Amino acid sequence: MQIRVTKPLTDLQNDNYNKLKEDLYNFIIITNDFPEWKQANFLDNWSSLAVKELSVTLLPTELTEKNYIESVREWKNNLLAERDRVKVDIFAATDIAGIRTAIDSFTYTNMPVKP
Amino acid sequence: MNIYAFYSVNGEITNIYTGTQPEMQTGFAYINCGIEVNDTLYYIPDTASPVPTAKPTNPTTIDKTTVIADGVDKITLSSIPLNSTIDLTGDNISPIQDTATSSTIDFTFDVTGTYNLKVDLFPYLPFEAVINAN
Repeated sequence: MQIRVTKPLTDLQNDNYNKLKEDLYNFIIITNDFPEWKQANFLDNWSSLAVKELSVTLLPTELTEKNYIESVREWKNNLLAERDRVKVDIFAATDIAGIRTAIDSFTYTNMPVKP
Repeated sequence: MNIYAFYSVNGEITNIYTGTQPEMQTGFAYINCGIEVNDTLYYIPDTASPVPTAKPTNPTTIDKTTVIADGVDKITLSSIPLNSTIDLTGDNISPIQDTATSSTIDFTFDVTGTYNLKVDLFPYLPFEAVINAN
């Protein structure tokens, strides 16, 4: 006798994609240095440094910070692009095994180390 | 204190009565019993000679409680008494109820989550397990 605990495919796809988004969010803000990520997204020192750069030459420390914020942003954007790639695979899968394969193919990269 | 266990024709204790007039509870047989007797843990094996007796342990076994939710990895229940009621509940699914038609059941999971499994058949004690599908 066998009992399979399942749901309609569309529900499995949505559940797993939502779980992926949650895991990714936690990875970004919890497993990494959250203040740096927050700096790159909300305080936005990058904008003030970029404006300053239009009129004066940035100090080496300022340039380093600006470049670092850019690299953190790129890191985050790469993860979001990876999420979107996996999303396509999740919703193209025809069974739970395919969905799991898509989820497992997600490549988590670590945040750039601050200079 | 007078304590009485009321039981049905198959020996299942339906309720416990404390008082002096058990005969007022019509429709059920009853027997004087000790304070330790309750309807969860005890039953009446022989209604012709009623003695409250501890329910036997459910023989059901489970090979593991953690499973990969890939539709392939499985959890196996064995030694299930035939006609047991199988209840599986979880946060992410509608409750599943089935009747055991064989002594072995394989469970596979497509949905991650924590599940409560219960195997029940009178007069056995219920078999219960928590399953994690990751």
